[in-house]
Amino acid sequence: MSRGLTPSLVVSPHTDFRLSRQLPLPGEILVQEGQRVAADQVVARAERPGRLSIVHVTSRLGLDPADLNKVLKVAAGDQVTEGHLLAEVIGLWGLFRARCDSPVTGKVEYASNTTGHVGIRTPPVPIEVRSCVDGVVEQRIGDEGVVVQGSGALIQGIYGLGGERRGILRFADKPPLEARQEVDVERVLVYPRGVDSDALSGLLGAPGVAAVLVAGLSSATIRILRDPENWKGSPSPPTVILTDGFGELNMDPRITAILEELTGSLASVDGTTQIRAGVVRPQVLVSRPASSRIEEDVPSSRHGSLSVGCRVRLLAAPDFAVHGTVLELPEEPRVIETGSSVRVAVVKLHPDRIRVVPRANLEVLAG
Amino acid sequence: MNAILAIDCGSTTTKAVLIVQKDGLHRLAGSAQSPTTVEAPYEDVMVGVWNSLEEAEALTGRHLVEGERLIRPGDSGRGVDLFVSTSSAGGGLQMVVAGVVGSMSSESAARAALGAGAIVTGVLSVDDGRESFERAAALKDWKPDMVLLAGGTDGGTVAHVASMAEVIRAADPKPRFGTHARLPVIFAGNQEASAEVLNILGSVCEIETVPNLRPVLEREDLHPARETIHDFFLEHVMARAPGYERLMEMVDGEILPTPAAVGFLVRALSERRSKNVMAVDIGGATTDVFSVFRGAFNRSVSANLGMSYSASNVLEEAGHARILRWLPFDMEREELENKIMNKTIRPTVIPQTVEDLSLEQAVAREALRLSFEQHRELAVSLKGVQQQRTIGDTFSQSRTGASLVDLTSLDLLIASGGCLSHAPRRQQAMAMVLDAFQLEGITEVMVDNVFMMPHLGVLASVDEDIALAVMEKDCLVPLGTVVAPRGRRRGEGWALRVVFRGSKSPPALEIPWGEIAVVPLEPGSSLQAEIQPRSPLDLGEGRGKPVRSTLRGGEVGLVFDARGRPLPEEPPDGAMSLWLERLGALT
Repeated sequence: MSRGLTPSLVVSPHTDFRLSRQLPLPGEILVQEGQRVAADQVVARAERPGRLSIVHVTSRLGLDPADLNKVLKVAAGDQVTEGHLLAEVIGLWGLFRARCDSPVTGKVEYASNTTGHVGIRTPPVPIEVRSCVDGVVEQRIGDEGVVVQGSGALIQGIYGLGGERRGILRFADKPPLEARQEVDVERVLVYPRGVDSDALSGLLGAPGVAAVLVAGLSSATIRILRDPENWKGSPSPPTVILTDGFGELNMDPRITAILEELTGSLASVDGTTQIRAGVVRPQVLVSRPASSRIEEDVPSSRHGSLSVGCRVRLLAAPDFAVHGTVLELPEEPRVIETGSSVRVAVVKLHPDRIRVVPRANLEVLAG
Repeated sequence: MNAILAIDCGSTTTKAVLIVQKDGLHRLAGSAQSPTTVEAPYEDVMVGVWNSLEEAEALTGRHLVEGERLIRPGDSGRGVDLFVSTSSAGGGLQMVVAGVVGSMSSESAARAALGAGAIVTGVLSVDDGRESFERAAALKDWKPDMVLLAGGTDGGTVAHVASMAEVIRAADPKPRFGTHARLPVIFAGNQEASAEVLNILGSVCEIETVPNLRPVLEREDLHPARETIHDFFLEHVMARAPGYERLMEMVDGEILPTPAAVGFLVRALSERRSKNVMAVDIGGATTDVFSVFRGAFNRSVSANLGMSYSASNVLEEAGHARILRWLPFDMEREELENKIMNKTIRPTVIPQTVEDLSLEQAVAREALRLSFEQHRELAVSLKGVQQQRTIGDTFSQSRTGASLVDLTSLDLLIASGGCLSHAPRRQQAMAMVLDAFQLEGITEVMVDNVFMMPHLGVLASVDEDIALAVMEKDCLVPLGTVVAPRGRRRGEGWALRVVFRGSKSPPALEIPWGEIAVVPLEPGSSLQAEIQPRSPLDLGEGRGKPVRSTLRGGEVGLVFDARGRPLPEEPPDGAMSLWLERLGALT
């Protein structure tokens, strides 16, 4: 019998978290271990090398690659700007000129007599990584990043679009908050009963919307959101996070309650999702001081392991995305409707329904 | 050898197989699995290895580990004498191949990479219709572990090869493991271009030059490139993956990429039985197809076709209608999409209702069909020449670029992968294979019962006899033999007439056109039969020509498939339910 492998997502009004804040390449770390940091504080930065633009000089001038040096006006190491003359052919006593200009601003990296190409490296692009939460730098990861330790509300979703954003949490169907907050800071909109694709499309180009939280969207709606043609010219369409999955789904009452309590708080939202080779799930974080913690009355698994009493989400029909509590974990496999013999859990759903579910079809809601 | 331990460190699970000698015979003593731990939070493959060994100890009662040490050598009740391993953890060995002409050097490079056990995530060529910046962007996006650069016959073009090297430099892709590491690049093209390639890439990549894999148009020489891919895999990919250094110290011999081990086993089986063999392994992310026809080995990997991580790609490539046609009930397109996307984002979920099981098996049919199509396109003779090719053995081809896959000469098909091996009914596995591959002629079908082909493959590289013996006794489960004529006919009436020979043989039968019939015959049993296809149907001997053959039994039995080939694009109304019922595949 294989060792159990139950996926888990954290849904907690107040938990401790360690957040890895890493650069995509080695760079400079701007904070020290033990230092207190604010969510907006830059903790690391680097310079991503610019793009290498390959200019087909000799083919543009109708020459053989071996003739490149005869017409070249620049050398490796030279700085050039867009439109700068790279090579020129002068024919018929100067009556006809053919020129090849640089399409980009950058530095000439090489010129090849074999290919007739000139490589120009555009200037490096600065990258900054912010702390994302209020906390303390627990660990430095070489020259690549830091681990920040903090506490607060954490809700992990299952699928997201878009990157890191910050904004004030607000329920879309409730009246706006104080005018000052609405104007100064972007909003993270919560749709507990779903949102139709037309309304969502309208948000894509709307100013002031940092993110949208919803239990589920149809695959067709996600396709619309992923198409840059539908972004209506917005350089940064809102991040979208699905807490439960694809389809028309209502948000679980417990997640809704946590988000309601956090209404008006500044939330860090990240839609990054990776399913393979290192699972990354989208998440919503709201920093809260450890002193404000109130223990919940409903116990759950702290480590995401499947155990009696822990909260779970059902992952397959006929009860897809329904939440419940594990009552029993029978040792012996049972035959399910499909004819497969599998290990199961007995789960209590709300209100007072009992289901026998394959353990593979459960997701522990930890935290 | 008294006891052998083999481990496959897969993308999601690490599986240990223990083989023990008893009464002079090596048999499977037990297998156990545990989650693979290459990724965070563990980031150490050995955690999963030790866990799987602990499970194996519990299951078999054999003491294998003492502290953090494998007990060696073994004796009658404890320890092992041989420890071998394969790995596809972290997504396996992912490669990009690049060449000058897509249908020549790039295609040869792809065959070299695939034969070495890699997943080819991208192919570049000078004639691929992309601009240089598009090629560089694509290469950056593919994030390969390694690049194989080919192109130009020896003494041929240098400029085109150098321009492809410039694209690699422009992309400057970083390896997955180790942010300070440089990307390994193998150059196997025109040897006269090697200095120029080194000049362009030497400062940014870890580059090694090997003999040209296409030194002249008429010949492929894939062996040196494959050997170097394997060496680079161990040196640059495995050694940097967390925990592998320890695993490499522990194993006897080298860690093989999982698909390379399976390919080794399929080749060994084909040689031993002197048969044309095909094997398919359908996973969550990729589907591998292996074939040996008349001694020529080919492997293809469909990197984006699979049952969980890649299920949404199957929908995208096949389209809604092709998946929905395999369901014996109606389903809305939106529901289909949502269910498939939910499976993609939660890959470990299993079907819980009959409807979801049918949907999973419909997706499997399309993933298998598309993978097989890709295999047929890859397993071809050299294009543009009228000569021989060299992959293992050589043979002549009457036409260039012709597929080497000939279903009427296929003797044995081995099906592996969760949806096939663990289908609630064996008949369902048979139904998926029949519909996806559209077998023609007479073909025996087996399933890999315990997913141990990688283990036996790496064992075969050390001791082929033991590996093949265990494979036949403990790994493969015969489903039966399929008899399926190719061609189509109009009207109704009989399509196949079958007369069985022998004293206890079943009565003769007649199979109507468009239907399927099953004759139960237990595994290990066989029947002599004379089969008459009705013209223009053809069992491989010609239209309407009878065939005599020995048909082997299995858990499903003998399957006479008179639906014709190719199958209709859209099954007639109610046909799907009828076909599944005839096969006994309805739950």
